[in-house]
Amino acid sequence: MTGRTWKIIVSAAIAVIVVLAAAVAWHISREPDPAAMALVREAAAALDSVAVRGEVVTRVRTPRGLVESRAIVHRGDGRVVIEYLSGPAEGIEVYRQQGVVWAKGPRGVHRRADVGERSMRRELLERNWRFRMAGERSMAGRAVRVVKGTGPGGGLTVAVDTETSFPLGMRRTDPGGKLISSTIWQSADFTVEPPPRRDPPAPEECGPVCPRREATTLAELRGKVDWALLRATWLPDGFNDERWFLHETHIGRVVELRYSDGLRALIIIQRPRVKRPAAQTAPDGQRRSEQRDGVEPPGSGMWRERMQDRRAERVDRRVMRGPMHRMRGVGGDAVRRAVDGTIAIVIGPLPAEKLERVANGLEPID
Amino acid sequence: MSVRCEEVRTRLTEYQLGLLEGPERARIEQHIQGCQRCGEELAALERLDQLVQPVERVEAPAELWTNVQARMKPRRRSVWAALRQWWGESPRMAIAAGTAVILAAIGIWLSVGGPLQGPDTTETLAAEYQQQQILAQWSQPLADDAALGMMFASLDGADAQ
Repeated sequence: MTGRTWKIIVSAAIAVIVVLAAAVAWHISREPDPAAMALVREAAAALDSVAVRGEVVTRVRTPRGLVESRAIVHRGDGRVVIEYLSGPAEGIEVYRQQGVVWAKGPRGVHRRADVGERSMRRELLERNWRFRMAGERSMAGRAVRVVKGTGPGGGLTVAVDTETSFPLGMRRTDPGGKLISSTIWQSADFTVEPPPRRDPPAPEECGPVCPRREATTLAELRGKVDWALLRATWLPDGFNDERWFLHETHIGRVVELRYSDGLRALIIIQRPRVKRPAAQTAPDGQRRSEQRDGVEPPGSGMWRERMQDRRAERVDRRVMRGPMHRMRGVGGDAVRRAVDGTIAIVIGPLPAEKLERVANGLEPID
Repeated sequence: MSVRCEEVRTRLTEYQLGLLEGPERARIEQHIQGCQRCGEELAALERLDQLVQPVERVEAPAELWTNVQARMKPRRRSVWAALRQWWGESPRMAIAAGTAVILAAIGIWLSVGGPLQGPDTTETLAAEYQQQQILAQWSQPLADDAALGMMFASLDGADAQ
């Protein structure tokens, strides 16, 4: 063989070795790291238990684009108080306690909702998410270990305080790698006591019609709503843990079917196609209904229902095209379907084609 | 045929109708008297003239028009033609009727729910769906309270003050 032939063979061999090394490195980096998974679980537990007070900078993708806000956060013992210093919520305080969140502005409580207690499904998390250690660095003047993970609902990077396991930084991305939200602590004082316990506001305090929410079961729901309940016959890999909730909202009774991949939720909001009489809470605290004593309000009838139906559909489509389409900040896009008189809105951290497939697979439950 | 005969025949119709006068008429008259063929031509023109004389005027039967009308198929007037005729005859009525229809439509629309305001507006629905979304994410492990709180507090909705 000539010298030139040898040069070609050696060059090709080097290229193969480089490609193989890169592939091995990539494969190793994708292997789940038990230590990283354990750190994530510790961080999740510390988020609710560790007492800390400090300033954070949070960035969220909203329907109006990416917004940034500074806030003073005081948390511990399952309670959180967030005082927004800038951004769209400037001057508003948000509280979370005993499964209730409420927002209080200069004119009092203007929004309240039941979110329930946080719960971690360890098997879901470990089955769906792959975490790995991504180095150490300093954050808010403290040493943190960085953990990066990917799952069906996108990506999550957590900066965990070495001493307390509290997550001093969290960054979420959608499955395409686009930023959803991030919160970075600028300063953190771990010597503080947890925020004082407060009495959550009564539902009537947040306005004439206050959204209510309750965890329920399918069997219970069947006795509470008179429209067809839908269930997904197709779900993306990793999403299960089916749960049902009933909401009393401004638009009447709404059923929420929720699936989770361990860290992110895929929800299917369901409501009747024609608006049903909504139980409402009047300012005086009395529960009222649009339909009383079985007497239909003036103007009722089939034509009225049809008009309302078309109008609701028009509004829904406008919502889907507008705000919800751009709403990735807390979950992802949304798609709408009408099945057997039920309108379903599928919202989740998934590519649009997968949301469409979930929506196309919705079927009434026998 | 002599040249003269050809000239006479070009003027023969005018001569027969009496349109020629003076020496020209006398010249043609003189030629016809001496020319048998031109005389026969003139005679033919006069016979044709007698044929096209109007026939005797006859009075139509009284029931003729009635019978014709009875045999005629009724002609359908188009809606557009009827409207045009009606509009031409009474435009004020048309304007009044149109206004009444529009007012009635607005009344029905308002009674059904009116313009896209009230509890089912785009903003309210969007806020409602977004709120569901926020609440769903908030109960997940490692939920970002600061980010979700900002979204929750700044939602546009019917209850926002």
